[in-house]
Amino acid sequence: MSASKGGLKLRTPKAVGSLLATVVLASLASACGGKTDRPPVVTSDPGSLDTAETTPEPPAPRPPQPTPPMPPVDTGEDLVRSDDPAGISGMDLVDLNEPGREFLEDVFFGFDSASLDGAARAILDEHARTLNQYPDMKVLIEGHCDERGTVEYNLALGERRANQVYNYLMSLGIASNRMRTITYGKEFPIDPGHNEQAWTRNRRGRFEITEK
Amino acid sequence: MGVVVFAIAVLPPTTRSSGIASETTFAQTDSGWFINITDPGRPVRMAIPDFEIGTADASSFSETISSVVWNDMEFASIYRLVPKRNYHIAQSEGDARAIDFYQWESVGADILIKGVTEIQRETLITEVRIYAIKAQEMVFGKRYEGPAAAARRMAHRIADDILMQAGNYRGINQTKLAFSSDRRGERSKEIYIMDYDGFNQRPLTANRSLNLTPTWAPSGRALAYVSYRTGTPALHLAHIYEGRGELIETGAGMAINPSWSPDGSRIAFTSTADGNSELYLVNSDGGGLRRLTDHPGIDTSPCWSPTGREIAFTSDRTGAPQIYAMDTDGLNLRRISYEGSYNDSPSWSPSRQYSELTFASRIERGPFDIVVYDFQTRQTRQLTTGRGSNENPGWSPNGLHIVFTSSRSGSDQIWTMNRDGSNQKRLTRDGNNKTPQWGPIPIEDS
Repeated sequence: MSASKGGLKLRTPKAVGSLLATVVLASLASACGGKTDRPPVVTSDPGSLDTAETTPEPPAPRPPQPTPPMPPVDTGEDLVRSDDPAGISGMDLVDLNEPGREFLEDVFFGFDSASLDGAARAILDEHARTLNQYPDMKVLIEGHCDERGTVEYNLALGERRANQVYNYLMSLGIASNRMRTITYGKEFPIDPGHNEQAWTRNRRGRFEITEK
Repeated sequence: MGVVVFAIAVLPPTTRSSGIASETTFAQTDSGWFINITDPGRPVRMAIPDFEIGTADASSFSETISSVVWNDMEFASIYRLVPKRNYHIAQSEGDARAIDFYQWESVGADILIKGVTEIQRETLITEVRIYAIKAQEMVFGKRYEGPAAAARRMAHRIADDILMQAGNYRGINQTKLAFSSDRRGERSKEIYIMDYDGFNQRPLTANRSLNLTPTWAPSGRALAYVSYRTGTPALHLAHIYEGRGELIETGAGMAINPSWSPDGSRIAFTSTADGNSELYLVNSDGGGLRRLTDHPGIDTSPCWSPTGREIAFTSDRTGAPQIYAMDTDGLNLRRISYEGSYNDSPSWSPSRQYSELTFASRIERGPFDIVVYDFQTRQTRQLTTGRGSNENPGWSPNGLHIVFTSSRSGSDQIWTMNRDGSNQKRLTRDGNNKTPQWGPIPIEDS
């Protein structure tokens, strides 16, 4: 289990081919420096476990990485709103999924709610147009919650939020095989605060481009 | 090596006959409690002088064992412990093994625990005797042998034996707790286990992914938990003493919040296989997948009744998360909680004495507190009050204590308390620690 792999921003679906692997390797260095808001995924055999009785000293955790300053945005190029298919093919997935600058912006939910309000629908309408524009693009829809509920129920609520987004995009004609959902419950807040503003930001549906 | 087996021998009685007949002051009640029948309101008082040091090299072990036994008895909250400062009155100056029953009675002791610890051929040996002071007799004696490294475990074993012999009480001193911790980095959570008193904390998983909500197999030798290590939340098994893990096949969708049945055969969990959170059962060795609920609302957080015939769970079918119960075939659904705007994390008491369910309850949008619902009286009592958010309650295997998560210290930590809310005690300090589950009482080898 390599620590550097653990720091990757990408959760790699099986379907992604070697092109992605190349992209991943090429962007490994930059990826490791960035803050992710998702857990790393271990691709090794799930059967391997530390034993309780003879647990070796766990490897030292990676020292906290300083958050690098945001790279300067290319002048004249709007990453999110680009209408140029060539623009996206020229970018790797890490750039598309960069925290805070995601290609597909987050949608937000009300307290203890998974319903999509007008603002959320407007954003998703736009996402549907983008997805239609890039027919090879596949997305992982993440459901997140604020810290106030319980661990267990929030896992279910996050799933429902992701599922609502999935269903709405499907109603707009996006094929189900281009979307996957996951819940992170309240495990990965984007805002660590304990106030209304943080909670509002953390109740979100987030999009990870898994193929383009 | 999973379980340390202590060699034990039952000691011959060393009762000193005083020639004075005394009434037996103690009797066991129907519920098995060792009480004072001449004054039932008076708590039974126990004296536990520091264990004697049999050989010079046993001094630190004697100290450890004495303090662990003392803390275990204090935690059990069955006996009033006589303060050590009074013991000198009753400690004999001559023969250390002679018991001056009158003096022990004068310092207020009803029961006296005497122990001697020594090292012989690198083996730790402790002899323990229990004396009934008024009756002036030894009621129990046992010799424990084991590796010196296992001194704490030996002490927990001794404490459980004392509770069983003196009070017919099933102690939980040898049990373990499992929980999820981010102490190795905020972006990952690993499953940890520790002794019930917070000692010997150690990781069970080390995959740097999200590992959540452990549930114990009734054997105490395995845990099921949710891991994201394959990229999607799924049920995993950890065979603790074999260092082996496996994935439990649960079909399509995400699998979360597992709960192991009391007979060990099945695991209840939440799955989104049909596109919405429903409760399912799966055999703990795989297969036998079966859906229990069918409702467009969220159904999650299952827990088993001690008989294995019912399941309590959380559902928001009326708009907000509330606690429900049903039979394990999915029938006989009924709502349990009516107070609070948000209730979750039910845990059904395994006690044969009390029929109750604990869960986390929130009024309005405030923090959670731990409450207990009594099935007999249909009353709910609150155990924690407004100090941080208190969540994820789980019963000790004898139903007399509750483990829970509290944020009162500024971070999420594991705490324990008695079933009346008294004796709240913090067990963890590193990082944030959540979703604790109390393991079963290990099966005795003697």
